Amino acid sequence: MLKDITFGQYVEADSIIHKLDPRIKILLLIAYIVFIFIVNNLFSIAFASVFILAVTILSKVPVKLFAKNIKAILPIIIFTAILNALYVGQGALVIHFWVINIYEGGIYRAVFMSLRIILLIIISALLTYTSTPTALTDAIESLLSPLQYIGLKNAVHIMALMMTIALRFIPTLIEETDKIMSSQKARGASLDSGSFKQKVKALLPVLIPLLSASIRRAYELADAMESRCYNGGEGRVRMKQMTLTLKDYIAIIVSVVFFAALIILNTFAV
Amino acid sequence: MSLLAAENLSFSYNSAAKIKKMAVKDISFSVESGEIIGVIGHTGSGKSTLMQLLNGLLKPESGAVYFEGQNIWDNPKEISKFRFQIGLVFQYPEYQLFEETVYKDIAFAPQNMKLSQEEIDNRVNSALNSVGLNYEFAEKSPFDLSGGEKRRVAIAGILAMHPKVLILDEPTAGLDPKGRATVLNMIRDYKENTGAAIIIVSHSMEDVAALCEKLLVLSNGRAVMFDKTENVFSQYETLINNGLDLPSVAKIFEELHKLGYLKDKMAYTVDDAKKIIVDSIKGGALNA
Ligand SMILES: Nc1ncnc2c1ncn2[C@@H]1O[C@H](COP(=O)(O)OP(=O)(O)OP(=O)(O)O)[C@@H](O)[C@H]1O
Ligand SMILES: [Mg+2]
Repeated sequence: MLKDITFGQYVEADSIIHKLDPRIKILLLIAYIVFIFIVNNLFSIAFASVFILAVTILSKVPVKLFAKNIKAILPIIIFTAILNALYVGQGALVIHFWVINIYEGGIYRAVFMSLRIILLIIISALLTYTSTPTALTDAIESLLSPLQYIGLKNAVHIMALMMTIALRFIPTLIEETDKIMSSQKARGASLDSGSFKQKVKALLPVLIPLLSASIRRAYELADAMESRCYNGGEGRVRMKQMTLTLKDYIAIIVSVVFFAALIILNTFAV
Repeated sequence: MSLLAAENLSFSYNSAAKIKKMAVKDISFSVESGEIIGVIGHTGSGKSTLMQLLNGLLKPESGAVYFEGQNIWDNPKEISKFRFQIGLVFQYPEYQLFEETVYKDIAFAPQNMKLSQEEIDNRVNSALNSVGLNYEFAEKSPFDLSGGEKRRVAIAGILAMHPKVLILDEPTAGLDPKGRATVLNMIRDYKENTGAAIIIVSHSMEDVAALCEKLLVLSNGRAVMFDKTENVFSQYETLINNGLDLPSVAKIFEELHKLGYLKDKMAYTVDDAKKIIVDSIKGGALNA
């Protein structure tokens, strides 16, 4: 069933990470990414790995979900590792085979790069696993709100509204697609066999009704919003106000301490 | 051998929810040529799911559907052969229209059946005829029609397959009284002309009372009753308990019985009621 495709990656769990303000999570994510790029020795990145692993466990999101993410980009990790291993020519020669020379520095670099990529994946996944798509769009709108002072008054609100509506209608559209596919199959449409060209042609009986349904829905939604006096972002308030709580401040403080420790390690470790 | 038979059908949607809920549980019944069977049940009772199991759009978890004695899932590759024989008109079928012209849209199924051009021509014209649309409509765009006309074109698209079993999921939903009558007459005519079996899902007790010889009552995915229409309606308690009701005229007769009138008479359709009441007045039974 098409319906089983989950959109977004939100995993429900009762953890402190889930409860953090999504704006703080987005800002911290950016900071973590920056720091992971700044550090340049294996020692610091190992320390970061331990810390991030702890945060991951704290989030109560099943570890196998992160493993799935990493598996998806495993080819890129392996490719990067091999390239680094081959091209860095420092330290003692470890492996010599035909024209291939792998040095100590190369291995060091390969491990370092792989860890760096894996950490980036894990912390980004952590954000989407612990925040609902709606929370994320709200947070983005809130974070981008300073743009209104440089003449983009409505743009931010409109963009956020578009994102929200798109997210809202994805399940509806999936359900609709399911239904249209079933009714065309009842008329003998074969949607999953034949050559590529046949398959594309077989999609028309599904795409056209879907498109017309979406346009109809868009008009209906516009009417419904207008009849409830929607007039853009001006003067609107939110039902769920985002406010910073103690947890958020703790998260910020812990992160800052971590960043400081990371920099110290990075500077003084040999 | 029945034309179409369901044996111990069960099905559940695999959803994200942890507890699996059966949408259809252990349902058995059968349909013969020329019969009209009504399927009634509260919202979410599994009517639409059962209809999709019957024509092979969903595959049963356990149990089987037999068409002319053959299990339709014996050979999954041949399933579309059965879908042509067991035509299913979905709820709000007008949203499946996609072609540039009404003609092409009705021709979609016959084309999938790989019929000759001449045969397709015949079928499209006779299907248009059956749903009471004249040939002017053939070259119109389906998107330019009224809601009721679209509905009829969509039904014609299924009739053009000449199914031996015609299943309709709430074919009158959202139509005005005249539109409802038109659709119900079309269904009756199709049965008269072809001898096909009809299975019709409806929330209108009036419609099923007027149209169906037998009723299948569903509740929470189970078949609660499968019996002659008047026998089903005589089980007032069971119907109420399962979120259903009697046709309005039957309720009037119940009240009359309580007042001591027409004790041995019952009507489920307005026409029958009219006849009984007029006869009784003429015969003096209802005089004050
Ligand atoms: N695509 C689906 N995915 C998951 N669950 C579904 C799906 N379709 C229906 N269900 C569930 O299966 C059960 C039976 O639904 P079904 O559509 O067959 O009911 P129905 O009798 O046709 O209702 P209605 O009178 O509202 O049309 C319901 O509990 C419904 O929530
Ligand atoms: Mg239904």
